[in-house]
Amino acid sequence: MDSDLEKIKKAKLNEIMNELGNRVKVIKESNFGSFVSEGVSVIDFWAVWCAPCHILSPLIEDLADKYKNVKFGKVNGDENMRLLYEYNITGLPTILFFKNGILADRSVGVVPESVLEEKIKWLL
Amino acid sequence: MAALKLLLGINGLSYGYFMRCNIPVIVNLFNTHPRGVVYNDDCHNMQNVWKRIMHYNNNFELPGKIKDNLSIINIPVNIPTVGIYSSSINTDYTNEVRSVFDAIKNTDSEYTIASINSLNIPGGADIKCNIYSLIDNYLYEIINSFNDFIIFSPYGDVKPNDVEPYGVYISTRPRPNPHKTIKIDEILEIFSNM
Repeated sequence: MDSDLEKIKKAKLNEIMNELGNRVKVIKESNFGSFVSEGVSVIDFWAVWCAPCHILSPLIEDLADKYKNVKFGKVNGDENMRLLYEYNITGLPTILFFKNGILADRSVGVVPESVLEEKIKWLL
Repeated sequence: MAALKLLLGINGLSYGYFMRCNIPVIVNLFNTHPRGVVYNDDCHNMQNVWKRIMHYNNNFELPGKIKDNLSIINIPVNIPTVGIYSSSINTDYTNEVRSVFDAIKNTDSEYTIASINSLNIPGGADIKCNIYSLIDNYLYEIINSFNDFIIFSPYGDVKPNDVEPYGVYISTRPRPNPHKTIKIDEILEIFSNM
């Protein structure tokens, strides 16, 4: 019982921290469209079990710190399957790059930070 | 001669450093072997997590298959640690890593379980990359002498106020469902069935 309560508190705290502090926002099907609709957005599709996703995610966080004028989001693929089908994502990690709501580019698998940065620069 | 099997735990080893540090051996193992993610969001104390991994309750309650032909090295169920090589919590990392790998190199038991504890610190990337590189160099020397291995971390990066719940898992053997995370309580069973 106590441990369940602790888990709920921890999850809520993570949610609040995400809203307040992290530059990489947790995105779901319900807010995906509005998130990518304006400006340049970078969306990291990942899953808990996906080892390469955990290699890539710190690089996305570094870029989020560097490019304050770009929106960064992460989508848990297991919890948002509809988005995987919609954007034809067959492997994780996949990074989608949007400009004003239009899918402009993508990157699949672990790639160097410089490759992702080039794609962002091209969109700015 | 029986096939040699190694279970090597590296506390605090994180996928997040794979692109940040120069660790060609570990990255090569990652690229060429079955891998996964250890998910552990509730036990980040090094002693407690190893008690769970090793089924330790004042004694190691190990599967019969492995307990009669096992070497343990630097297992942090207590401080100082338990095993052929034992260290205190303040041991210099160069000394700890070298001593653990020397002990691994010299074991002839069918099963070897070892732990490296130097990464279990909330340090910056510079110091951590030095430790990653050291581990990487020694790993190159010993990994081919084992027929089977699991290299894992029971949790990821140790930060000043937080611990990453995602640990590393690289093994010679595939798992039945690679789309599931590995729980710390399963690791000994997977190892004993190798």
